[in-house]
Amino acid sequence: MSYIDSGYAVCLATLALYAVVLVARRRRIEREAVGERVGGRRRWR
Amino acid sequence: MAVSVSVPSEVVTDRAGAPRRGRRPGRARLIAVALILVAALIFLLVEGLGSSLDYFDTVAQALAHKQTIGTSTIRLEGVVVRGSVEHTATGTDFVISSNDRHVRVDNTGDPPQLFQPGIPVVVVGHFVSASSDRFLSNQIMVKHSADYIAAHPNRVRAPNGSTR
Amino acid sequence: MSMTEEVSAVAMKAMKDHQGEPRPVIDDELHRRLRPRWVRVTGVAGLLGLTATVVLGLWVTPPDETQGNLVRLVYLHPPVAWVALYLAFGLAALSSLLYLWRRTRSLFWDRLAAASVEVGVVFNALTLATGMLWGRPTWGVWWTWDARLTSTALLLVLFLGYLALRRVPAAPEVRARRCAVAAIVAFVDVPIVHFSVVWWQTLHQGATVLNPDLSPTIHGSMAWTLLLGFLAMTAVFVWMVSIRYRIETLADEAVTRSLATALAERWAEDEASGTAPTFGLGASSVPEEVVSATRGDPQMSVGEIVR
Repeated sequence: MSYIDSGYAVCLATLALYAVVLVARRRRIEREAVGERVGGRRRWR
Repeated sequence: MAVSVSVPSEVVTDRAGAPRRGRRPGRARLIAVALILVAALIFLLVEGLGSSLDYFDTVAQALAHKQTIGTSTIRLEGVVVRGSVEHTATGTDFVISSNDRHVRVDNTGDPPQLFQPGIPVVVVGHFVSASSDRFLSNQIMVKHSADYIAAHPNRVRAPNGSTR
Repeated sequence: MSMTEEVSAVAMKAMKDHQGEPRPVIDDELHRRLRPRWVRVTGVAGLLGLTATVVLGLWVTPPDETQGNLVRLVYLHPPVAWVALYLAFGLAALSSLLYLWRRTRSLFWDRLAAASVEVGVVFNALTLATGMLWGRPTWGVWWTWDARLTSTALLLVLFLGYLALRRVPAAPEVRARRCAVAAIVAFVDVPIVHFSVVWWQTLHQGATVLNPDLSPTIHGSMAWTLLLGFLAMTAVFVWMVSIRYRIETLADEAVTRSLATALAERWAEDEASGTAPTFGLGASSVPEEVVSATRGDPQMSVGEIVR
């Protein structure tokens, strides 16, 4: 794999990974906010 | 003491409804710190660093200050003169130029794959002596331009081993 | 709404809910408001645009006269840098200014700045990574300390510092003010990065599009693919910031809510057991404690108050 191919791979893979992490974080915190009773565990981020 | 729910609720609303306003002592300090930081940064840029942040000397600049440079290690920039490139046993010899000034470069080691006549390069090394305009380098970096021109399919050069 | 008002409002709601069935603070209506359709549209647009950019960039566009096939990173590296420097850090600096300005002060701007910086840091790191992978075959070196590269590396460190500062425990308004100042100070480096190739002699090439003459030298399909790259990365950025903003908002609400719930539960316990709260003079002193704690000691986090 050439440097240029690696550049594309690194860039796209990182963006995809970050996107997945963002969606997962959103899902987790939405479940906490909506699915459970008021309150729940304390979070400080 | 039994406390009904309605009592604290009114108290809460009252107290929260009229939040105490006032200047916090930290605020002015923060702004002052920010201003000082910005001013310091601008001062550094304008006064302190100036041209010392230049990454290289052009051939013309280096020859103009040759006395102060002597044989100390510098980075030197110029366009590789067409027809001057010779491959030797230990590396590559060529001439670089800027503003019609020329320096003969003896480079040890392999040049990068994009190295070719007619493009600007930066070489790292030193002049042979204070009076000589021969430059001994051990590293070549290609400083390509910001222009992007499609290679014509019929006169496409071998892209120096690059596959993509 | 100030933090104190927010806490007491949620506390009221939580306390009423405590009597009957537990009810979520974030209801369906709020859900829809925080997750609008345009976010999804932007995400799909970014994904499609990026796919098209990659196909055009790797297979359709011609090789460059000098760089040959090595030119192809031009369709990713500048758009990624554009997002990091101008969109992400620009938005963060603008939001921070709007937070600091009294008339527009709102935690909305603080959260937007936080979201924007985090996305910007990812893009800034990618700018360095793709730049190194481009520099190695073209320049011949992975890295060198010229003005452009050094100031860009400094930018990453500065905004990593911003993210670290956000994790220092403090009342929301104290943290927001600190971080706003930090973002603006860090942003000073952005024009330095931009003009570094003009002010100083650098190994890095000058700008192709936004050069001093504003006369881009990039031809035909290469130019169009580059433009598409810029648009696609912009869409990706908007999508990421909107998601990250939502996470920030919900995280803030979770803290507020847990604080309010703790208060409500305490009141309810006191009521049930018939004993006065152990602190202060009766139940009315509970909010007072919150008020003084969140306002008096800037080092104390809301989380600590609950504890």
